[in-house]
Amino acid sequence: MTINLYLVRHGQTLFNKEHRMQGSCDSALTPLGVKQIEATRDYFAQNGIAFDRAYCSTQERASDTLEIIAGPEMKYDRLKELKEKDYGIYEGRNILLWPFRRLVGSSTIEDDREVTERMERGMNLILRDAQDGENILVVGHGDSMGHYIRERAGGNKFPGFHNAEFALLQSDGNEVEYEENVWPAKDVRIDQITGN
Amino acid sequence: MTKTLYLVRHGQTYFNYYHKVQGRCDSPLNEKGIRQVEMARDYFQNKHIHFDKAFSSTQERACDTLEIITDHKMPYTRLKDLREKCYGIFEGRDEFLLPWNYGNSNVDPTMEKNEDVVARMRRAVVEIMDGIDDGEAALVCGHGDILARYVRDATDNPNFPALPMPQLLS
Repeated sequence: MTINLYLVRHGQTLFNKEHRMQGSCDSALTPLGVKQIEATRDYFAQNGIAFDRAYCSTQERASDTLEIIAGPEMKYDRLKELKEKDYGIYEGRNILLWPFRRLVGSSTIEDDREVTERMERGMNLILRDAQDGENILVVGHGDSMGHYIRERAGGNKFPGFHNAEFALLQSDGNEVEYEENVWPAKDVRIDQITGN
Repeated sequence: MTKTLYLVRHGQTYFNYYHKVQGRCDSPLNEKGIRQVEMARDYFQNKHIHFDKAFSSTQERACDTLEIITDHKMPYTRLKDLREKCYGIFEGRDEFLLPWNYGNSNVDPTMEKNEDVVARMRRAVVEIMDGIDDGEAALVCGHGDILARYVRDATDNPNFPALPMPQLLS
């Protein structure tokens, strides 16, 4: 049995652009973010990858990304387990403050092990319903998906996700193996003035 | 026969607590917010108010509020038109920066215009009304600014006060 899991990170959001920590909080996709996701959508179309099932986290940047990739007609399930790591008091704050977590507020930040465990629960829910040969779209977040891949899918060298980048994982129904990452939106740019 | 809408504002969130501007951006319900919504849920149960349909904005704080009120038992429709007003460059920033909080009457061009906010809500209400039958009641979970502006506009009552959270109107 082979199941193909396409783990896609959402496109650029306002807080990404402003270099603000975005974990349990959420902000809207920017025009660049939308363009990045469209490039990823086009990649899947050009390579004949059609999705049998789709899942995303309950956060709006993920559901918006999913709706662009899979189209407005695709039914999807939102799972709380797939949410981004909670950055506690650093939520919404400039990323330059992040190194200070060793001194202040580390107890407010969600523990990495908890993140990995809940991601595993979420992915197991997805695998439970998956059928042989299916392509499954999973739209989530960089940190939480990164932890899952490194710790549960044998991807110890996994470098991380750019906006709108995806990782392909394959599963036999039990074990999950990381295969590759692809970033179709790598060269996508937007003209700040005209918006194109 | 009439159709009844129960408009509920979400419970307190982290950004509400820290007085960060929360319009188009979103943060989770904090513990107090969850308890507030549970009290709203209990109110509806004690009064035997039953919802035939449920609607919420696409933002997670509204969805979470709806799921608590309906005890995670009702399927619901998420509508983008029910989202909060967009505060532009003030999103996620401290509330004291908002112009009206320090006597500045200028409107920042990145902020969504009030007329557009009310227009969106009107569209959402039309869609909701189309989705329910005569005699039915719908739960609508949304956000303070948009709901209050809509109520002021729809009921011709400019003095309708802001909604503390979560308050229900029907």
